[in-house]
Amino acid sequence: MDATKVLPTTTRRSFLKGSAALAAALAVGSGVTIGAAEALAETNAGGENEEKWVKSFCGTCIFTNCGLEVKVVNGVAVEVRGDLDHPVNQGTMCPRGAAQLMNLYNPYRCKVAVKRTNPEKGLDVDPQWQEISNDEAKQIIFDKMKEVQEKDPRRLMFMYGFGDTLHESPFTKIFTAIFNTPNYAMSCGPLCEVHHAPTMYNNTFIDRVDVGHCNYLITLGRNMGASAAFASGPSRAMANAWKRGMKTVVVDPHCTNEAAHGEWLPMRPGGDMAFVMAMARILITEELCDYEFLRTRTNVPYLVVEDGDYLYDANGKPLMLDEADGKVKAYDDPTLVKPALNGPAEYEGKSYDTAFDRIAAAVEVATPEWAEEKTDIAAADILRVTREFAKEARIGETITLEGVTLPYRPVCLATGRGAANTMQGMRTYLVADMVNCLVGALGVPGSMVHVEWPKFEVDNGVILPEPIAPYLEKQTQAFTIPFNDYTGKQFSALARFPVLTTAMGGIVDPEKYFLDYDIDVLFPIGSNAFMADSSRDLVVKAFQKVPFIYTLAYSMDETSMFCDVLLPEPSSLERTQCKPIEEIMTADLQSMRTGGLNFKSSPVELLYDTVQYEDLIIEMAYYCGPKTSANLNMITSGFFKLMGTPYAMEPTKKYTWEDMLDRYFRATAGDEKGLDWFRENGHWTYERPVEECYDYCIQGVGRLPLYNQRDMMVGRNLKKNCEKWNVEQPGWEGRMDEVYAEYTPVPEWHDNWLTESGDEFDMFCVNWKISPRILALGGADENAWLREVCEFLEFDDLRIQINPAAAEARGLKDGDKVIVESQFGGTTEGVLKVTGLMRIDCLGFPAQGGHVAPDMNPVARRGTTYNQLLSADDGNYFTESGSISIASRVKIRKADK
Amino acid sequence: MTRYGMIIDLERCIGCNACTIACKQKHATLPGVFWTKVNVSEEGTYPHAFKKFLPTQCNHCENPTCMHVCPTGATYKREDGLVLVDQDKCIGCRYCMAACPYEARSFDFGDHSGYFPEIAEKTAYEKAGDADRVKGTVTKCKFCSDRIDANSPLKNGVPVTACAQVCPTSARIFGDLDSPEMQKCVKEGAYQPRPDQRTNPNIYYLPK
Repeated sequence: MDATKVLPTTTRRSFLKGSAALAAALAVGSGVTIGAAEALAETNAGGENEEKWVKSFCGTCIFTNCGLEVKVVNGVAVEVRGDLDHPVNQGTMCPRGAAQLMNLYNPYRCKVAVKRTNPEKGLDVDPQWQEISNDEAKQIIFDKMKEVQEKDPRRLMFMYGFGDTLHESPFTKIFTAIFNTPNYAMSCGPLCEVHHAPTMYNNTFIDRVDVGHCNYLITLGRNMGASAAFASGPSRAMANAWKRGMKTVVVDPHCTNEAAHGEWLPMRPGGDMAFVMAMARILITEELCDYEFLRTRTNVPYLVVEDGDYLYDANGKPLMLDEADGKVKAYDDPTLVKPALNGPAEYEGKSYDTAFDRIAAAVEVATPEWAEEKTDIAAADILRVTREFAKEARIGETITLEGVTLPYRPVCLATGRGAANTMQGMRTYLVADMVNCLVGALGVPGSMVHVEWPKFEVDNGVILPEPIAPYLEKQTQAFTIPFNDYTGKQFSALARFPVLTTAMGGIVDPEKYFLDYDIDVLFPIGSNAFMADSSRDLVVKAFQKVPFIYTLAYSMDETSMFCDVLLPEPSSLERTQCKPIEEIMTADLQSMRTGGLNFKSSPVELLYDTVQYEDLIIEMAYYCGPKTSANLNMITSGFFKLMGTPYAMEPTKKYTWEDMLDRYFRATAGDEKGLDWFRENGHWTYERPVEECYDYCIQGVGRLPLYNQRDMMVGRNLKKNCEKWNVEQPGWEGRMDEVYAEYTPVPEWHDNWLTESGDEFDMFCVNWKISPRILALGGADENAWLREVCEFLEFDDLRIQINPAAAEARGLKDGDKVIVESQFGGTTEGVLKVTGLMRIDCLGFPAQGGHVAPDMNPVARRGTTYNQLLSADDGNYFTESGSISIASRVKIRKADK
Repeated sequence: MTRYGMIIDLERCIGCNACTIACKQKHATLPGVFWTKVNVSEEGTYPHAFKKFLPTQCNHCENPTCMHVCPTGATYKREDGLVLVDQDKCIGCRYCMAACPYEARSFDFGDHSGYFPEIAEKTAYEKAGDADRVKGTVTKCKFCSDRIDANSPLKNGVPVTACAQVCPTSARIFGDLDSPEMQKCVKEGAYQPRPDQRTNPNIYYLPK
């Protein structure tokens, strides 16, 4: 846990000196690999200015949509600008996109293939790199891959993160299927608990707020675009909404950039659940709900039995009470006129509540005064904001957009990572969406809507991501001791991603996690669990134990340090890549209607002899044998939706990445728009009909799951499986009741380690993204311009923020060097910045700094390491999801001089 | 004659510094040199504190004091409103820097080692940028005069500066100050910075 324990003891200078091979590999001015760049510079000296603009697209945020143009003079890229003809970003860029030339021309990039000669691995161990040819590196990797395919493909683990290829490459999502392993891990998973509620309510991976119509927006730890400056639409949509008069209420321990345009309610970390429960209570008790929506579009009229399940008829259909004739009927009974929201209902001699009764009873405790105790937000403010929210919801009104008439509910309670990744976060997000539904604001103009084309599967009349019976069956099938995979999803039954603690812990001690085989080969790509996650010691141990690790490296970062073989990777601008256009998070109608494809290839001759991820995967799959070859062709064909088209790939043929792109483009954009067309034009877009943008139009008869019977059943199934095999979730031994308690169908408040107090850890630490650095995407940590802006211009700079009153009470002042220690033992050092933009009991850590890899750009080492204040240890992560809390309780002291 | 200027809408600005970096990369300015940047200040007191964003740069004033004090005529004003520095005439006396009420000018002291002084070989991008540097002269925002001269790229039919083009919230509106669109903003309450200096800036701010 202690970051200081793993800091390298060697200086950069001595480290390089001690490793001549590494110095060559880095080629810092050595001329070994400058090649192309030098040749181009010579051309420049000739005086002939050959100038061109090349179309590209950005690679610096999670779902990159923005079209770019790169100016190339005599072979050197000298300017990047937004593509004014691109309907997504309309010529604009975010600071990260604008800084891409420093990503391309980063002298600290990995430039040549290397293999380590020192078998010992560690964050303070010199790998003693030896430069090798790309062919030799590939041969080593391919032989290891073939060997593991023949021995037991499960012994291969894939690991990815936000680093580069995650949302660009099909081969990131389908890697495990191509190479026949169930094992993957994600460095970007544990701090990204934002997918369950969108899956349940919008049948979508990520939801987005229609701020083009929203008039009253409450954010709970959610970045709406302003803090990250997304140029593809969110920032523009927010600015337009503010100009239009949208009110923004930011409920957050930290006063965000969005709060600068609205109202800030400084909330105590971990209080989010209390806030949303109180909102629900006010809406219900003051009868401010959209009752028509609740009756016809949600499952709250369903009758429930004592143990929480639905009341079913003899045919297994859930029942409702019809207010029109007082009879209990199946949910799909054609005579059903007006489903009752309240019971009791008499059925076969017994009396039953409705789900709405249960929800109302569950939030009865959550008075504004009760919530004030938990959140430290005045009861009067909670009451006021909720009433304003309900009033602005304009219940009963409709709006007509392009001839389509829809309910108009221009309000949104938008939950984000800051709330979803604190204690009870997954349920907080669900309850927040329940609050939206109470006023009818879900899937309609002005509210929370889906992103990707949702399936809207309906089970017992309720919209669910997957019908519950097959879902439970799948869970049970996976729950056989020993476990077949390292994902940890057996215990964390609602986990969207593999549980990193289990994946890493399993490598170190398979038996503890009910596994009976080891991991022999690990392929991390764009992934840095040493920085992006907590519990660094565990990750170190896991990486030390795996016999063979390889990666494609852009950066000589911490992950690279643990590899046996590295191949140099192109920078974002240099890749030949495509990506579907799809706006996320925040959008106006124009953004929602815009779909299409972006394409890029390097505007300059590749600076180094780099190997692109897709090319490596294709070559590797074809090398490993007919099975992986066929997998590659058929799964890619399926992923790109080529099956049944003239562009479908054949199992036995060999294709290049460009072949595949050409087929994908023609199948998607039309036969005449192949790779050459995209090379010239860069992007292709189309406009979706309005009906496809709002869930309300396409969810059909399905009802929204306000009463969370589905997750309750998942929890019961988990209990059954655990008891059948007589096992307990590692970390929760002897307290499995706490595990099962998280699967509740109604809002509940549970005290937890974040809400405890009374010990010496008298403050909370909190963290947020800033516009020059979100998730270190696109090489942001090494980007000299972005780091310069962080250090010298950003308000949220490298310092630790503390409230003036908190500083005074502790005898601390601006500029003091301090040590922060968390309740889990992790410590970090930093310099204080005193500001009223921080809650009185919190320490704010903007973004994340403090890399420890000695061969990165030294600017990456500056700043504090936040994530080591958190805990992903067994028993501390969120049992149901595998995610971790983004806040901890901490104490602060002045560092010794 | 066109009179180029800019309206900066503070209600739209989110303080992201995209303009800062777009300017840096287009003009390959040296470390620590910002021809434009976003100043952030903290206003109010907890719990009613908030951030205030204020992008700043050369205001291309109608009555530029920097030009008046320049002993060689290196700083000059074009008919289209741009205030520029002729690097060949600048003798590096820096009177203009002292006279500018907006601290919008920088001086090239001659350290062109760039962002990676510890590395012997410069990047191709930085080498290309060196072509425009003249040691011992003053530099500042040019309102992207090359774009204006080339009449490209165009946004809404008008050449656009890098900072105005990049802005993800369209907080910067660049164009002819005498156009009806720009005059509308002025009439809505857009104000000039430091009117007490009587420089008559061609950059206006729309208040929040």
